[in-house]
This record gives sequence, C-alpha cells and structure tokens, in this order.
Amino acid sequence: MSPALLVLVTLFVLAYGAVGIFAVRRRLLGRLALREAVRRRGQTLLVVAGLMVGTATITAALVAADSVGDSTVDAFAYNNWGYVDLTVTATNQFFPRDVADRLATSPAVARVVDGVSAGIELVGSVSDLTARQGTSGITLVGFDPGSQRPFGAFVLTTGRETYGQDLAPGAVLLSRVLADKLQAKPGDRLHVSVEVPGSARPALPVDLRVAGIARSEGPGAYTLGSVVFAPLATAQDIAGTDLINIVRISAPGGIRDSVQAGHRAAPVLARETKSLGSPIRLAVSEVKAREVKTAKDSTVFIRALLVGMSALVVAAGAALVINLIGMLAEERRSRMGVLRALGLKRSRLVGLSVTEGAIYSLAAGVLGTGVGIAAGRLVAARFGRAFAEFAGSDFDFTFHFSLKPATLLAGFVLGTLLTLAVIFLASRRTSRMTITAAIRNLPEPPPERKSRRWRTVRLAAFGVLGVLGLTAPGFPRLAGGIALILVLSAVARSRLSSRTHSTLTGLALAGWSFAIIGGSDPNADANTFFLVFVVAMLTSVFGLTLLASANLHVAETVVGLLGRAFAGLRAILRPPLAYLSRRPVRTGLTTGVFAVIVGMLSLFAVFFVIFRPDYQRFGNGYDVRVLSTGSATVELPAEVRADVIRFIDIPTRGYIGPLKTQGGFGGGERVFVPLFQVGNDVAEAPPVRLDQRDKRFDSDRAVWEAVARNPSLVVADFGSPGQKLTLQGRDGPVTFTIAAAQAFGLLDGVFGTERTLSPFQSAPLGASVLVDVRDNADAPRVARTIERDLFGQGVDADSIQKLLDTADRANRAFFSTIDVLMRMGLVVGILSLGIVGMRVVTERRHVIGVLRAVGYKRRHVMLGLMTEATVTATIGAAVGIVVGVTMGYLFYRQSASQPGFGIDLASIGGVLGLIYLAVLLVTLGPAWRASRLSPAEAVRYSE
Amino acid sequence: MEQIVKARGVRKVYRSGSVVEALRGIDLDIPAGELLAIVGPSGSGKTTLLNCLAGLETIDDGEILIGGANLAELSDDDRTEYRAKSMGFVFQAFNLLPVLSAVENVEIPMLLLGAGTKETRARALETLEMVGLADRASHRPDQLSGGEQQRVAVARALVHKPAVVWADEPTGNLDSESTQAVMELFLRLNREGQTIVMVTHNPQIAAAAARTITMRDGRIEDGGGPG
Ligand SMILES: Nc1ncnc2c1ncn2[C@@H]1O[C@H](COP(=O)(O)OP(=O)(O)OP(=O)(O)O)[C@@H](O)[C@H]1O
Ligand SMILES: [Mg+2]
Repeated sequence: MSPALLVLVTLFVLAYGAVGIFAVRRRLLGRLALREAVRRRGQTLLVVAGLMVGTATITAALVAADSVGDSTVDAFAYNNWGYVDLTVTATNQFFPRDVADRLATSPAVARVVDGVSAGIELVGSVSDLTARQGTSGITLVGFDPGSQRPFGAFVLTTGRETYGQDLAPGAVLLSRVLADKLQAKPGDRLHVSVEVPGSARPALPVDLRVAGIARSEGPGAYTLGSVVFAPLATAQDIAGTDLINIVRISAPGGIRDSVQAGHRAAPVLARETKSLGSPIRLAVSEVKAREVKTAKDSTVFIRALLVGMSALVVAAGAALVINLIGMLAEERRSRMGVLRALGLKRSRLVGLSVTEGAIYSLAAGVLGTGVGIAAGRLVAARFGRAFAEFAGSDFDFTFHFSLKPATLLAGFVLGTLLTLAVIFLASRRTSRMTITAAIRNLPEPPPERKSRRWRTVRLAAFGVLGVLGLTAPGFPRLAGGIALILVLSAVARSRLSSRTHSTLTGLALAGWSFAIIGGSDPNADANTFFLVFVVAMLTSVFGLTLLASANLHVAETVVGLLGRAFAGLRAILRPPLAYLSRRPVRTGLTTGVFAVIVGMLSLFAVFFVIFRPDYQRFGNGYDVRVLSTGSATVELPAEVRADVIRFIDIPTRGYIGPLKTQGGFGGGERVFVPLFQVGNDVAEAPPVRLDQRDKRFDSDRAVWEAVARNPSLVVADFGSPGQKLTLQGRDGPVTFTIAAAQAFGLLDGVFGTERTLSPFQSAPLGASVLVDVRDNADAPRVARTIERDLFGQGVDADSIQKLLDTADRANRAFFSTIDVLMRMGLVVGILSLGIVGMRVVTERRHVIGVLRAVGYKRRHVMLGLMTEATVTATIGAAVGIVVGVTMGYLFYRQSASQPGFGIDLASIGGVLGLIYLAVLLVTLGPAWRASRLSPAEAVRYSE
Repeated sequence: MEQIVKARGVRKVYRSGSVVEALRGIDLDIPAGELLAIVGPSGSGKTTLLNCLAGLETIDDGEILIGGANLAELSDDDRTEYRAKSMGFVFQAFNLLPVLSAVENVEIPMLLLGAGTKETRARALETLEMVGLADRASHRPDQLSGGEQQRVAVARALVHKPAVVWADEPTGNLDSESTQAVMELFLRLNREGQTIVMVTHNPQIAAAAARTITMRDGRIEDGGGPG
C-alpha cells in the first residue's frame, strides 16, 4: 500500500470510526439516523445516486489511468525488450564482436547474467519480391543463434519454435507487423537494404527468404514494430560489415521480473566492459528498467488529465451533495427543531445528520465503485482506441484493462471521505436553526453577524498568505491572488451594494484566473499544469456565476419589457426570477455545475477547431510523401514525372536509440527517430509548415532561419516549443531545444542542419521526398505508382491527405477519451436541477399556496418553475461557454501559429440541445406536482 | 343590501386517513360592506369555512354563490381568475414572498390583472402609504417586523380593490402592539366600505365587528343564517 493510500485509509477509519462510536454511544440518535435513512425509499435512492457521483468519477479516472499506465509499460518496456535487460552499445557506431564474446566468457559477468549475445540493429527498407510490396522504416535485427537460448525462442505462426540455429543460409524471420504490411508469406523472396555510412565493405546483394513469421511474444515482439530478424552472419552481410553494434544481455528472471537482477548486474558489466579497453566508447545501459520509467513518465500526463477532469466532475458532485443535504434538512426542519427544543445540542444534531449521511455515503461508495469500474472501462476503451489510432499499423500495441484492488480501495476511500466531508460541512450549516421558527416551519430569520475580531484576524491571515503566494509562479500565485481578492471583497462588502460587490468580486476572480491561464507555462509538468487549470477553471466559473446571479435583474428587466406586450407574463415570471436572483448561493451551486461541464465541452469544441489539420496549410502545397530508409537516392519513376510540378528531397538519417523528451511523450530507449537534414537556405523553401512556434519567433521563416543559424535548435513533431530533447550522439548525449513543432503525421521526426545533425553521421542514410503534383492529378494514384515502381527499394509513398486524415482521426480519438467523464458531469448537472425542482415543491408549498390564492393559475405555477430551471441551465451554459471559449482562446494564443481560432458549433449545439431536453424532463414532474398543490396550503402550517 | 356571498347547506369532509367532517351544513349570507368575524374553538372549522367560501377548497355538498356565480360550477381556472379579480387574502403567516420587496409583493395582484408598470407601481406605493409603510417599500420581508409584514399583506390584499378581503387569524402570530395596529387598519378599511371576512380569536375585534358568528364542530352555533 502506498503511503498516500495508507493516510487515506487511516483517515477513513478515523472518520467512520468516529461516526460509528457516536451512533453506538447515542443509541437513540443512531437509531433515529437509521430510521431517517430508510424512511423514504425513493428519496434514499436519489440521495445515494447523487452521493455516488464523486466515488464513481474518481474510480473511473483511476481505473482508466491504471489501464493506460499498465498497457504502456507492458508494451513499451516488457514486450518491446522481451528478455533483454541491458545493452552495450557505442552510440550508433559499430564495434568488434569480440566485445560480446569476452563479456560472455568473463566469470564475473556469468555470475550475474543469464545470457550475452552479439547483435545488430539498423534501420532500413525491405521489399518482398514475391508479393511485390516494399516498405521503409523497418529494423534489421541481427541475432546470434548460438547464444539466443536465454533470450527465448521465436514462436512462428505455424507453432514451430526456433532459436535460429536451424535457419538455412539467407533465411530470415519477419515480425507479424511487417508480414502484415508486406502481405508476406513463408517462402517469399526478400530484399533488405540499409545504407551504412563508412562501412568496411560494400553490402553484398543477399538473397533472402522468409523462413517464417514470428508471433508477437518473447523475442518475436522485439521493438513491437516492423522487423526482419536475421541470424547475425546474414545481418552482417546485408549491412556489409563484420562488426556488430549492440550486445544484448539478459539478467536472471523472466520478461517482467528481471529488472532488479539487471540492476545488480549493471555495475559488474560496466566494470568488465571498461576493462576490455576498447578504443570506441562503449556504454552499458539498463534499457528495460529505464524503459519502464519512461513508459510510466509518459503516462503521467494522461493520469493528470484524467484526475484533473474527474476533479471537475467531483467539484460538480460536491455541489450536488450540498443540494441534497439541503433538501433533506428542509424536509426534516420542523422535526429537528422539536428535537432541539427538547434539549438536543447543536453538535448532536450535526452528529445525527452526519450519521445519516455516513450511511448514505457508504452505500454510495460501494455503488459508486461499481459504476466507476464500468465507466473506467469505457474511458479505458476510448484510450485503447486512441492508442490504436496513433500506433496505426506500425506498432504491435495491445491495450488491456487493469483492475487493481489498491486502486479500487483508493477510489472508494477518497470518494466516501470527500462525500462525508461535504456532508459534515453542509450539516453544520443547516443545523444553524432558530428553534421556534423551525418548529412552526416559519422562514428562518436572518443570521446574526459573527464576532468581528476573529473575522479581522482571519482576513489578515488570508491576506498575508495571499501576498506570499503571489511571489511564487504557478499554483501559489493563482491561489494567492484568489485569497487576496476574497479578502478585499470581504473588506469592501459593507461599503458597496450587494450587487456591485458580487459583480466586482466575480469579475476579479474570473479575470485573475484567465490571466494566470493566459500566462501559464505550457511546459510545466503535467500535474502542476492540471492543478492550475482545474482551480482556474473552477474559480472563473465561480466568479462568472456570481456575476451572473447578481445581475439577474437584467433578465427581470428584459421580461419587464416583454411584459408590456404580454400583460400578466411579468407577474408570472416575477417570483421565479426573484428566487433565482435573490438566492444566489443556491442558484450558483446549480448553474456552477452546468458551467463547469459546459465549460470543458466548449474548450474541447475550440480544440477541435484549432487542432484540426488544415490540408492546404500543413501539406505546404505538397501532395505525396515518399519515405526511403534503405537508400538515400529516390528516383521518381518516369510514369509519374509528367504529373509532378516540384519536389523536395530531404536526406534523412535513420537514428535508432534512446530519445529523451521533456514532457515524457514519445521517449524511450530504442526509438526510431528520422533526422531530416535541411540546408542552410531552408528558410527560402521550408519543407513543412509549422503548427506551434516558440513565442520568440513570430513567423515560420524566423524559425527556419534560427534553425539554420543555431546548431542547438531543431524542429520536431513531438514535445512543445521551448522543450528539450536528447539523443545519443557519436560522443555522448546531444540535447536540442525545440524551436517549433510541425503537425504530427506528415514528416515525423527532427529537422536540423547538417551541422546540427553531425553527431549522428554513423546512422544509416535514407531520403524523404515531398512531391507536389498537378492540380488535376490523382495524388493517391501517383503515390501507388511510386510505391509499386520503387518497391525494390522498399519505399513508402502516401498521399498527404491520407496522412493528415489519419493524424486527425488519432487526435479526435484522443479528445474523445474525456467524453465519458464529461457525460458523467452532465448527469450531475441534470440531477442537480431535478433535486432543486423537488426542493422547490417541499420548500415553497406555502408560497405556491399564497400565489394560487391570489390568482396564479396552475399553468402559471408550472410555467414559473420551468422558467426557473431553464434560466438556471441557461446561465450555467452561458457561463460555461464564456469560460471554455476564453480558455480555448488563451491556449490558442500560446501556440502561436495555429490555422485560426474557431468553435465547433455543432458539438456545443448538440450538448445544449441535450441539456435543455434533460432539463425539461427532470423538471416537468416537480413542476406538475407543484401546480397541483392546493391553494389552501397557504393557510396551513404543518407538513 | 347586495349579498356578496351566499352559502347554502355547505358540507366539507376531509378524507385523508380518517374521515373528518369539517363543515356540517353551513348557511351564510355576507352583505357588501360588512365586517364579519368568525370565532370558535380550535378545530371547529373556521379556516375550512373561509377557504371554502373563498374558493380555495372545493366543497362536498351544498352551494356557494359569489357575485351570482356558483363556485362549484366554475373551473379551477375560472375560480382562480375570480380570486385574482375580486378577492384579497391575508393569512396568519407566509403571506409574502421572501425574495420580493414589500412593494414588489404588493404589486403582484395588479400585475396579474395586466396593469401597466407605472400604474402598478404608483398604486402599490399608494396602498403601502395607506397601511403606513411608505418608507418600507423596498425592504424585504425578513427586514420587516411581523406586524409590518402583516400590514404589507393587507396592502397586497387591497391593492386591486377587491370586492371582499378574507383574513384568517391575521394577528395570530403578532404581539399585542402589532395586533392593535393591524386590527385598527382593518376597522378603518371597513369603515371606508371594504367587505371583510375574518377568522379571529381576538374578542376586541369580534366586538367591533358588525356581526360575529361562532363555530362549533363544523356548524354555526350563533349568529349565522341568511342575512
Ligand atoms: N387537510 C386536512 N385533512 C384532514 N383534516 C383536516 C384538514 N384540514 C383541516 N382538517 C380538520 O378539519 C377540522 C377543521 O379544521 P380547521 O382548520 O378548519 O379548524 P379551525 O377552526 O380553523 O381551527 P384553528 O382555530 O385551530 O385554526 C379539524 O378537525 C381539522 O383537523
Ligand atoms: Mg384555522
């Protein structure tokens, strides 16, 4: 159990233990609480459903985050490396095989490892001469059959197992992903090309045959990608070398449990490797352990995103809980008043309602965990789809759903504790009653002001904390500003009218939140970013809700104007509007729930537009992309030349090795990163358009000029401008700063000048070609023709439209992952309105009776209540749209060069339609019941 | 004299759980301009009678004619419209909408009748002045004393010049000083010609009333009967 979980469980035991002791010691009250809890079945069900939301959302987010995390680690750390725990490499250079042999025979090494094996790993191209299909970006993995045993056997699709010793000369195995791409079958003739710079001997034309297709398990899953597995001698022939470029080492244990053993072996290996006295710098790397860490880090963002989004829903859920407690308190007010008159202390009264609440919250916790598992499954499935879209057919990524007892416990405990805390606070508020008024069910007289001295001390303390907070960037600054605004607002309260006061406070809170978001550091770590985002979102929603509620008289005025045309309408709408504008806390609780959710959905509606790839722009006028990783020269076939207006040929290095990124995305120990080598005049004819630029640059041109000038600047498709990325160069790690990012999916990799990329000259050389075809030429057909004609060279050609569509699908799949959580939030909003509707019927019986007595017809009562609900939802939606769109705009401003600002109106419209429909459905019942109340209710006191 | 209300053989039975015969044959005429006081012990049916006469509740037998129309034959909407036009109400409590200011509360009946904004405001202020609360017009109910609240309620009952004002123990929740003020207000209004029917425990007002009927067990024990 993690320390955090331990703390939570302890708190849980303490809190519920205290409630339990209270219930046992005050047996009468305990029994009373139980009675109240089971008295009205329908109401209990509603309350439990409402209290469940928090637990369900938290559980869903955690379960989904677990699934993403586990799937990522399983795939990118365990399956990716198989039995390999450590490697010895020389930063993209070749070295003698002797290194492996001497390590293998060293007794010190033998004591701590299972296996040592010489190998080769190179990026190249392949063509299936039988199926007449070729492809680029494959990895040639040379393995040594003689020492393969500790690394496991390849299991072929036929069920045959092999360590490679029984492979005939020239026989190779294909990974499943590659076989699918080539539509290759055992027996097919194969050609693999790699261009190794400065190789000792020219590559021989090697006649290769597919001996089998490896299943994605054990060594066959190695790299997860497109692989030609060749016995070392064959691989050396293909590469034209007698050397190797990797020693793979397996520590004792299986695929998943060898990390510790690997860690113990690492220092021994480092010592022994050093003692070899190799002229080339050899490095021992704990690849699997590091990959596990990288994989975990890369999911920090997703976990933070999920937890952040669920926090918004939980905040909405808390508002719902307050509403529910209010409803229960109203219903029981006179009963509780009698108990108080009979001598029950206020604290005991709080104990009574907390005990009742504890019963509900436990039931809700159990139910919520169940619902959370189901919802988490949905969210996880969305992520599975998104990952599949990103991986496309290039990766063997299997997503699986994880359910861990510790996570369920955490969701349950966190959810129920939060619920209980909110119940406690709400109960304290509602227990403040004037006994005589409560007994006779008369309206509560206004509360007396609290002691001024304490108030001053508290304000001063808050003020000091606020000022301190302002000095630190990020969350402390946001929180400090909020504290200061609240302090000022409290001080100014008596000097301003309540309307002016609320308006100014609301504006200040929203403005401050927006300012912080506008100036927030997009490269901050994910947890900080989401903390700031969630709090800013809630604060701006709160502020604007305050502002809107305080100014609802505007709506009254508008209705007043309408009233001139429709006499009587004014009378009918006056009470509901007055209830909304003069009960700002209650109105705010409900509108706030809507605002938060609609705000998120509006933000996504903006993201949809500003992140939508723009073919014309990102394509930079090119229509076809050709990739060749096996050879540096691409001759466009004569057949298409007539269709080609211009083309650009970018020398591309096939870097394969460790990649470290600042955000954690895309990093790993063995990543294929195409390095696009641009000329010093790249600014004259840039290959791609940029999607995001560092703020220092005000145009694409400025970026390319800087990249040409400064060898530490690159353009990359991953990470954000301003972030760093690190690759392994000839003489050690090389770190670049990302000046700008191109849209992903077009030319994925890193752009730099020859000078910038010089540490990687030993990486195989290929080419990337962008082709601009005539307007009336068929780009997909041109791509097909190029691929067919150059299949022997193993090139991939695709229309840019297709590439961008694929990227767009992946982007959308990613956004859709949050949908499920937001929908749970919408349910909270709708439930809130339903509950408010029910509260109205119990609480306003007398008022409705009076209105009916003085002449309101049944349909007037109904119309009034429906208006109240609709206006509530509308204010919520309006605040949400303002907050969401403003935040969207602020994010848009931060990434300088997106195509244009806009809002996906269809998606917002859909949500609004749904909201109004649901509002109608949940308020119709209570409104109808209210309209059936007898006018004689006005006269009678008791329930 | 013109009869505003004419009740014959009115019966009312409550059937929620046990059966309670709240009214057991009531005959009653109320002429215009009268101040009628209804007294009687608790549970004798005073409130029920008032509610039935005012059309807030339906009756089980007999008939009630108001301004010539038979209440039982009117639809709920018609009855409601009639109340809006010709009746005013003052209850013991909960008279005012807590979220509306005094003047806004008073305006409601005028607005319901479709009066214009300016005319409504002027008339409401005038009526508040009449009950002595002109300076409290913009206060909310929770900023007014119980007596003041009841006077606002009286103003609301009068603002549209109804044919009859129904009051059910309007001073039941008030201290003696406020009771005095409210009662004097009612008496003054009646002197100015306003028809008022009031349930009360207050012997003083009962004494001041032109006519007093005493209820017991759902029947009029004393002072009832036609005219
Ligand atoms: N909604 C109802 N359901 C059932 N019985 C009712 C209902 N309203 C009144 N009663 C009963 O009808 C009888 C008359 O009640 P009513 O309120 O008219 O008495 P009252 O004379 O006004 O008494 P009080 O002086 O206490 O106000 C009582 O016995 C009462 O219990
Ligand atoms: Mg009564």
